[in-house]
Amino acid sequence: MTSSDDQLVARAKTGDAEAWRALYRDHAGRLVVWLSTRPQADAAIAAEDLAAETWLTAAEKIHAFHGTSSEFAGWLFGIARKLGGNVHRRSQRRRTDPVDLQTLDRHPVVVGPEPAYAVKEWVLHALASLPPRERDVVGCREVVGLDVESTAAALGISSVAVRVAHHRGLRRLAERLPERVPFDV
Amino acid sequence: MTDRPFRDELRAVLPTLEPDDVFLAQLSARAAAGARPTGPGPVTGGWRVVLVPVAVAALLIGVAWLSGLRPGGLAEPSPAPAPADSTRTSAPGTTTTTTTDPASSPLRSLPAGAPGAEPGPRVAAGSAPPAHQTGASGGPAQGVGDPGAQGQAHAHGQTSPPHSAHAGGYPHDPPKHSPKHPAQHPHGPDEHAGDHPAPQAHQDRRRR
Repeated sequence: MTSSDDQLVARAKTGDAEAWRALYRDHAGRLVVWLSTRPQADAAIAAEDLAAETWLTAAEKIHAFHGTSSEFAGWLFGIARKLGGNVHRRSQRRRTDPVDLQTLDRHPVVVGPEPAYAVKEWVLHALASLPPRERDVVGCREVVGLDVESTAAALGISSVAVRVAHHRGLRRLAERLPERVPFDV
Repeated sequence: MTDRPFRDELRAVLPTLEPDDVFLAQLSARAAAGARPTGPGPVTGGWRVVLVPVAVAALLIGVAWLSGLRPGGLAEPSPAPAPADSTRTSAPGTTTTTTTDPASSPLRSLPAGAPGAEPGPRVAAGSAPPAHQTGASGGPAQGVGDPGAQGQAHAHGQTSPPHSAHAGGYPHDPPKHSPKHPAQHPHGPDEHAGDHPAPQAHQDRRRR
């Protein structure tokens, strides 16, 4: 990222709360949606948890970022991808034992805000059937609407690789299009 | 490639999330904390610039010192002294009982420059002081290359292994005296002139 900072990013670097509020409004929703399209290795860590950790990390590392507020999205998604990888590796090291469902019934269930912006279930099912790179690219490009450059920055790959994976992912999904009918109900 | 309605169905409805005030304050505080430490950066960098060469120099000095302690280290002389010793001990008519001298092994580990551990070339030329230190009464202390002193010291050393003339005098000699040495002698006769104890050894044997 060699472009200069725009005003919003420059203010965010100084710790301006309003700048951070604006950045959060622009990117927090699609970050949570994109994280929810990725398979979660640890069921105890929701997409919202990972998104919050991503924002905190971004606030610490904002001085290493140079670019506009739109390029900020790709950088932010890249942080989320790396943190997700950390969670995945950590969950593999710390495997937990399954708990009896009767034990869980004693605890109260709090309904979260997820259903308000949850991705359609058939979309999640279709994305889960794709290879990881194609799933991430289709999730960034189609589900949350990132452009090619931001997607490349988020996934740490080139723009050409983004286009290739995007094309292949969409083709695979089109081949499985009839399968989505049962999940669309 | 794919139909547009299919791609439109993939698109999720993106919510506009409002940050919590506490969380927003935390973000601002972290960003502001990251903005402050611009001064100490070069200081720590300069500290590292000084530390790295000092560490490397200390490492090199330590390695050099350790290699000086070891018998096969940097203080090892040229391989010329080794044949000189074998020439001396395997002279015709001498016995080969001093091949494993226990008194000489501790001195082999002394560093170069320590008492009793002299550099190889001087030892190879035949130095008298070791013979005196070990009790070998081989006559007056001669200078380097004196065949008489060298021969007597070596003859006494052969008869009494604990007081070998090799002890302290030949710290780098290999512990072997091969009987087939004369055939292996690769040097000319002048190279170790004065090292051969043969005349003096024959005299001692005749006295006995």
